[in-house]
Amino acid sequence: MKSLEQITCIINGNQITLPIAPTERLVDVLRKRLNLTGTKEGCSIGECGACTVLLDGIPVSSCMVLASQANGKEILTIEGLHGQDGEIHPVQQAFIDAGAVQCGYCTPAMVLCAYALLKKNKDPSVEEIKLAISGTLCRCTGYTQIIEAIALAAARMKY
Amino acid sequence: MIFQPETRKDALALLAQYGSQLVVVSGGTDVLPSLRAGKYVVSSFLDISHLKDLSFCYQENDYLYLGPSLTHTQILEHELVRSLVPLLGSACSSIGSPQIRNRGTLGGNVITLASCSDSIPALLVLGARLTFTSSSGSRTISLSEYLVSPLVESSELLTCISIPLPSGSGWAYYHKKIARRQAAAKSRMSVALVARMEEGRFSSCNIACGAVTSVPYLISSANDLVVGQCPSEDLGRQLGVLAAKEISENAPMRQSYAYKLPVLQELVKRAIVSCGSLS
Repeated sequence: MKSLEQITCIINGNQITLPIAPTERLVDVLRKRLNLTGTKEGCSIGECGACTVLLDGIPVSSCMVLASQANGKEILTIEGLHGQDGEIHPVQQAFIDAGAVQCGYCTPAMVLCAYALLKKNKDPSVEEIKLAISGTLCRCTGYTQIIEAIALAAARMKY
Repeated sequence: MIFQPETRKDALALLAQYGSQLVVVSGGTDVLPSLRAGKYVVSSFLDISHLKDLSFCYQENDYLYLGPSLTHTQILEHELVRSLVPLLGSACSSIGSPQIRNRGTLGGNVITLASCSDSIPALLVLGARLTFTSSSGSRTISLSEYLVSPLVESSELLTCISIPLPSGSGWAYYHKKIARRQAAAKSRMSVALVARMEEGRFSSCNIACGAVTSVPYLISSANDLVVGQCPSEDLGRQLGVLAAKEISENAPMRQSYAYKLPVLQELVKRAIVSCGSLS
């Protein structure tokens, strides 16, 4: 069997084939090679959640995923999130309206976690919202507004 | 080099060929931080995350069979786990953060064998067995044996975790994790218990702790002390004292014992008292 030297995956709706190194991380492919710098790198050891992307719809820390492991998968980063007609996504609008963005470093991850939650649970409780964002740290301590923003997005997206 | 086989057979053939030159990676939640910390002398990987035949979950002949590549999220959400071994689901739900649970695997926990592993105390009290397979055959050992001697040949892959299913009624479960915060935190300590109650008295009791000793620890004196007794604070205190004594005699002294052994005694007491609700 041959060593894997390139991967093909769908990133934000576009199929991409690119060569990879064995130790390369998904976060580096996104940020350094594809210039998708909306994905942030914080702790690099899977604790802060700032590098969260959706891998086949599931939130994962991209600093903990080898680039090779994205082979054949679908990845959504914050750059790929938008509403039905290409406008800002209702989750993003709710973050703006609820004042849920302070320094912004955790925001892409928070928005993606909220989006993944609302995909499978249209009417989450506050506890379910807290659980969904529990792997993403906000050091501005703005959790209250973030929780309110996700509840607001859920309410708006129901109609 | 990085290999991404599509079948278990191909993965075993690669391990037979390259053996210790390969780092096996599945969820990557242990491998990537270790890679970053420069802990590997080799930089070739066997990526088993794509192997569908390591992600099964089924019940057969009084056992639940779990594929080692199941993520913690898949385990805690699985209907069979919820109905047959809720203790394991509870333990897996306490691990890391959603992002970690979405990638980290049960098999990875067994191989990494961290002191603070949250799933292993639960697997221990449930009497889990491990099957390792190489291209020349397979062997099955109990998790408790593996903890004493966690030797895995470089040609072997963990291919199954099997759990004997509790039969009859009267089973009590307890799981408690203590950490610095409620989410995304490593265990300061965890305690798991499986006990069977008959007419208000213990007829069996397994209790284990994580993050106390260098690997999770099954408290061997539990069964002898509590069988035939009713759950009470006094019995819980007695077992707590015995557990602390057993650990300080059997496991190498750690500086953290000054804090951990008294806390362990309290958690053991609470675990025993919790069984009273079934009496």
